[in-house]
Amino acid sequence: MMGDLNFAVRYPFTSAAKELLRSEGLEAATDEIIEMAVQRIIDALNGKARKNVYANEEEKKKDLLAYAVARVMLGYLRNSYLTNKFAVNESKKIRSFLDDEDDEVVDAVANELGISSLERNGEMLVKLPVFLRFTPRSPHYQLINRKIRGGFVTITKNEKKRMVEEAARKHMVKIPLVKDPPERIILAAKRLLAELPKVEVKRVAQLEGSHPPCIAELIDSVKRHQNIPHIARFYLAVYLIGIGLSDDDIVSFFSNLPDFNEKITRYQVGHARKKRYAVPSCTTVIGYGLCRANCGIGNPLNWHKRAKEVTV
Amino acid sequence: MNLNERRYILSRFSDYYSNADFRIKSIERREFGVGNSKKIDSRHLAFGSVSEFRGYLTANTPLFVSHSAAYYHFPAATPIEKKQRIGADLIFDLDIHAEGKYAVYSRLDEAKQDVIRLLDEFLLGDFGLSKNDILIVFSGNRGYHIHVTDSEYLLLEGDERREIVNYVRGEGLRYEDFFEWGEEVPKKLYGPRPDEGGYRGRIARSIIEDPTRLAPKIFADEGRRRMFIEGIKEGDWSRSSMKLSDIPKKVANIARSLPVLSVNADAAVTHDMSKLIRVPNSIHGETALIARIVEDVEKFNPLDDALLDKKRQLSVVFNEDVPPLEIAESTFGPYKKGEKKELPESVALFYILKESASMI
Repeated sequence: MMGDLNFAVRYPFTSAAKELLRSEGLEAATDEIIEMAVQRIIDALNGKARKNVYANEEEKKKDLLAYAVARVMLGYLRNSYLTNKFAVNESKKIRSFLDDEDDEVVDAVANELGISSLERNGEMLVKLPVFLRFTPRSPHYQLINRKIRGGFVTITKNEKKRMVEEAARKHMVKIPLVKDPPERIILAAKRLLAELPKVEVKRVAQLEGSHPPCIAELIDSVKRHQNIPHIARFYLAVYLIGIGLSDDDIVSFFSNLPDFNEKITRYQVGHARKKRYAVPSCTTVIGYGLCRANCGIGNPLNWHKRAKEVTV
Repeated sequence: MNLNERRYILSRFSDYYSNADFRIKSIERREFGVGNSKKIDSRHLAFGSVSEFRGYLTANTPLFVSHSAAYYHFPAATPIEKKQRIGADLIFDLDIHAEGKYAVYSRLDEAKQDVIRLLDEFLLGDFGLSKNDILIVFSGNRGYHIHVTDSEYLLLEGDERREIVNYVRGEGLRYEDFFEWGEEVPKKLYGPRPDEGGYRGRIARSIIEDPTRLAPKIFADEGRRRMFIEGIKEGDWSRSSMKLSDIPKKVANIARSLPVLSVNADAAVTHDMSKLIRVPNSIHGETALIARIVEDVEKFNPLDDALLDKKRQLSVVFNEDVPPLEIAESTFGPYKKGEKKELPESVALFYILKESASMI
């Protein structure tokens, strides 16, 4: 049992961990544990892959629960930026645990994630599609540079660990939707969103300049990785085109959106530019429900005249 | 193609579809698209069964019909994210490019030879796939589509599929790196053995087959040839009087023929899983040729085996000069502009859809 807990706390996505969690249940999530979960996500945002030290079994259980609560929170928030950061950070932790493990433990974790290898003539082999799915797309892992035979690719022990890391990341990115988690978790999740640090976006002069309040708020939301409605995205995109940003700059800015999809964004921004959509008048923006200040400039682009900015 | 011709052609397509042999894996999970003015005018169609699909094709016969490489929970849903992809077949698109309207049809055998190599060397060899999970289909025009339906490949994402295409096309391969010098004096050259997998084994086997390509004079001699080959079998490429340092470069030259370059590197259908591919055994609306499922690649001859109907005749007048064409087991043409001719119907439809002739 103790062995199970040690294993589960390191590899909280495994069935052994789920088994333990099932017996505990989310009801066991105290305020302390919820706080640990929030901290775990914030650590991920800051890229702190810290390995916890445990004084006793109780602390291990708490840590395992905190992982589960964090997942529930992420499943509730559906913010892919947060989920991605979390998955990257957790999978890095897993990798550093794996580096200290015996082969049997590595194999057990790998098997859970669908990475089974076999030995032939002293070589470690994985199936080709498995190799492709769980290796990073870097020159080192290019298929063309690999020893391939009969559907199997030769890998090293270290490469297998790297594959487990990648598989764990992919596993954690696919988070199930949680519709109504316990109220305390919802509250903590909302608090987490509010505390989200703004990350540095690519510095584009036009974005740094002064903007009408409606636009300023949208820019702020995007920088905080919050979701904004479709019409707001359209308005923002047309405005950014209007003040002279390139498609690349707009797409890179929109990449902060939690459900960012580069292909769709690029198409839509390109389309708006091609169609020469005019920046909507203030009346239209009021109609969108996006007006924030009634600044009376007639058209949002007039803001710059009023503010005597030279960024246009 | 005028309205009359279109009506006639579609009625002939419809006749074919009433009995066509469709073998669409999990048809109820596929999205369909049909086209008349272009290859796909409308998509997001779905059919619960082959008979439903057949009913649609015979009643609303299109010039082109395609289905998704992907399997979806909700194939008819829009936008695409709502379809919920389950997986997608891995598709290879092989085609021949040639100048002019007709040049490509005398070169279809090149595509076929590449299909054979792709199949034997790569899909069955390196990738260890089973024949049951591979569908070879004539595209109906200038090449072939290979559908891989192996369940482990279904889950691959776009960039992972691109890796496979790069592999098959030998992109980024440096054959020189296959060789290394030993420590002994005089230095020996070590390289790939014929029993190795992948490109290493392939290049070794290719050289063993005919060493004279490396050095015509030296290996004209039976004894020298044999000694060299025996060495390669053990990975020792030093057993010849050739200047050893020349070998890697010469091998690299010969190796250029090993990848399958007619596999389309940028085929959207390979790496973009939202794309549609011509339905196997449907008709290509630019040629009236059937995108025939190929059972025996060696024996398959598209301009004979993919014809719609060999019995009926149809009279046409040519609108332009056309070169001779080997089709339907004989040679047709050349034809001059203004020439009237009674032709086998499938050949006539081919010229009409190519806009070289009109019905009379």
